[in-house]
Parts: sequence; C-alpha cells; structure tokens
Amino acid sequence: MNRKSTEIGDVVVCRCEQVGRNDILKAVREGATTIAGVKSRTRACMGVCQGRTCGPVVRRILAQETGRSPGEVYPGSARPPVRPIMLGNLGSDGW
Amino acid sequence: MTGVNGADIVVVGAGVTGNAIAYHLARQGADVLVVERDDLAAGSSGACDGYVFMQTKAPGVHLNLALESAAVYEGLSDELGYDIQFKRCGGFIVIRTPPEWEVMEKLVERQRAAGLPIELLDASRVRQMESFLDGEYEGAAYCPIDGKIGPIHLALGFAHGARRHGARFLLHTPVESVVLEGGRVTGIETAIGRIRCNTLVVACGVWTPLLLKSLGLSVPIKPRRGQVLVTAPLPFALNHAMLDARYIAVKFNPKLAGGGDDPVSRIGISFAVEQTAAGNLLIGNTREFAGYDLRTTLEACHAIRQYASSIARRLEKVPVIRSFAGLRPYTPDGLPLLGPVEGIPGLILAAGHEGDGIALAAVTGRLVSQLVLEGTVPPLMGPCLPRRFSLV
Repeated sequence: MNRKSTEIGDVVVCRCEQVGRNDILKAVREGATTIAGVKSRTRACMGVCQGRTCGPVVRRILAQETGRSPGEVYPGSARPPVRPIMLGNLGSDGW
Repeated sequence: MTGVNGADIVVVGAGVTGNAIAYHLARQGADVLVVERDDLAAGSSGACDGYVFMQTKAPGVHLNLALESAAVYEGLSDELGYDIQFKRCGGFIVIRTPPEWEVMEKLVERQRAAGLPIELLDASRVRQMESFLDGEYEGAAYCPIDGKIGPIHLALGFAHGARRHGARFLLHTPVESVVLEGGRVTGIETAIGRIRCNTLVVACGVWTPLLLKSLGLSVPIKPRRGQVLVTAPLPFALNHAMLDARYIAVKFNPKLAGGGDDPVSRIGISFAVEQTAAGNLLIGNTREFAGYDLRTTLEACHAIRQYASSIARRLEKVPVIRSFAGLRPYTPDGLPLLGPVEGIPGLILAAGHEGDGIALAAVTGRLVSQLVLEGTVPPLMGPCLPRRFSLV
C-alpha cells in the first residue's frame, strides 16, 4: 500500500512530507536501497527542504538496514535551485 | 525453466512499461521475471509528468490506444490494491497564436469526427473555467475526459500487482547482453550470471538501443530530455491538466519546434502545467536531444519560466523547490515499437513511447501479454510493429 502510515509512537524522519521511520523501513523491505528509491516510495526528501534535514537520517537508516556504511549509500542527485525561489525571480539574477 | 536462474518470460526494465507487461502476464498465470539494472521506476517513469491526455493523440491507432488505457485506469487502483491517483480532471490545450488556432481547428474537427468529446473555447471562456490561466492567449481546446495520474505510483502499483500474482523482480541487476542459441533467444547475461528464458521482452525505454546493440540491431529510439520545475505544495487547487499547442507540435515534429537559435526553438520549449495529488505543480517543459545527460540547465529553467508565465501570470509568484530532467524515448513516427523482432525468435520489443509511456502503459501491457501468450499480433498492435523500421 502506498498510503502514509505515520503512527503514534513512530518517529518522524521527514518533516516536510510527514514520513515516519516505519515508512522508510517498509520502503527498504520493498526493495529501496538508495535515497532515490526511498523518495519514490515514501516522498521523504521530496519536500520544501529537499532532503537537507532528513537526507542524512534516511541515509543512515538505509545503511543500517542493508549492512553498509552511510558512505556506501548513494546520496541521490541534488538539483537546482539550492533553496526555494519564486519562479518570477528565477534566472533574473542567476539562481 | 523456473527458479532463480530462469523463467519462461523475462522482462528487462522495471519502469511503467515493463511492470505493466509483467502484471498482465502474471495475472494470466505466466512465469515472469523482471530484471532491472537499478530500481523500480528509476528511469523515465520516475522523472516525468502524469498526463493521460486524449486530445494530444492523432485520431486512429494512437487515440484508440489512449482511450483503452484510460478506461483501464478508471478501475485500476482497486484492481492493483494500490492508489495510482488517476483522475479525469479535464484538459486544456492552450492556443497562443492565430496560426496555431488554424492548425488546432483542423485537429479538433478530426478528433470530434472520431468521437472524442472536445471543443474550442475562446480566451474569456477558458478564464472562466480555469482562473489559473490568466495570461495572454487566443483560446484553448478543452476535452473533459483528459486526465492525470501519479506516474511513480502507476509504475510501483503495476509492480505491486504483478508480485501479488507471482511475478518475480530482480532489481539492481544490470543486463549485459542477450544470449542467442541457434538464432533464437535463450536467455540474458547479467552481472550475477546467465538467466535462461523462452521469451525476452525488452522494455528499457531510451536504453533499449544500448542493450540490443550487442545483437547488431539498430533500434531507432533516441533519448529526448524533458526538463521540469517543481513547486512546493500550493494552497490553491488547479482544476485541470494543461498543455499548449506547441507541445503537440514539438512532440511529434522536432522540426516544427522551429530552426531558430532562440532558446524556445532550440530546446523545444512548450507549456505544460499539472498539479500532483500532493499539491505540487509540475511546470514544463523542454524537448531536447542531449544524449543521456540528465542534468537540468539554467537556460532551460529560465526559458520555461518566461514561456509558462506568459500564459499563466500567477506562476511568477510560486515557489520552485526543484528542477528535474527525464529522458523521453523518441521514435521517428511518434509511435512505440511493440512486437516481435523479425529474424530473432523469442525477442519482443516494448519501448519508444516518447511522452506517452504513462498514458499508454495499460494498453501496452495488455497487447504485449496477448502477443506473448497467444502468439498472434493483436489488431491495435499492427501499426506499432518494429518491422516498420529497418533494425539492421
């Protein structure tokens, strides 16, 4: 199922998208081994902060669950803009 | 041929197309293994918009494929046990100039003759129906049965459904080559060794030509980059999915994108705005031949902004949180390559949907599974057969 299941007692990992630790663990059980895999299954790291807050935590959980060190987990692709920008300001003075 | 090292049917590629095929096959009791070099929906299916437009399809085979797919999506969430976020929200194709109006008038006439509910509306009527479209344009074509879907949800949902019916998935396993014995396909060579099969379905989208090069085949699919901007979830709701007439022109005829050196012509800018179920806007897009480069560019983001906000001024005020790029599998005639490869028994192609992979996934799954299990080419597949191109 793809519905959010942030339950009482669960730890919120991604605040922007309200994703709990249990959601991340479930995504790993379903085959996610990368940040991108967790994103597509849970929306963690997809919110306003773009994973700046939760990214390292997601990475650590992935590493723990798949028996790797955090450095071995591919961090995912960062894309512009670096922080939210009003569309009307985009390109007017660089990013 | 079951077990870890084989399956009756191997599908390469766990994007929306491969997963839809696996679902249809597994549901009918077939022994299916999906082999994927990365993850579910890690390629184009995870980097695209979710349009399920009817009015962007030419009357005839293309439109018929889309109509069948959309009809399937109506009940697919329940069938899969997975919410695919399909909604018939109605769609606009915004028309900016009088020459575009003339072209669209003819297209709309043909579509109406083919039975599609569609009408041309002047600008004031469009603004009444969709206040978001508050910029400059002549009018729009409106089709109430156009819709949208969650593309990643659709790809994951098909995988979920396929697994429930016994399909197996081998993720993070790159396929290195296709194994032939006596001229027919007997398996694939992968990073973890040989996997045997009787039938091989190649559903790798833009990566299809790379895999089949080892067989000396030249598949006419080219990656075409589409860049999209993503906003934060917005407090207002967009009532429709929307494109503009340039989208149709650019998609089906790269030359119509204009030979000019301005960014709009060179990188194939068109207007495409859609709101996801989570509330984010996807604002696009481009159509560029840039190889397999997935980076986004400042030039394109800036050009998208200027073009899109001329049609919807409100866009100037929305907060952009990300840009992304996906590769659309372009083919010379805009139709996918579906069906057997002549001269290589056991090899079936299912790739090259350009921007229609999401909209056509359900019908692609149905047609390819029918071909594999019954051994006959379904009528709708006829115009999509790979033999219309020379593959050698």
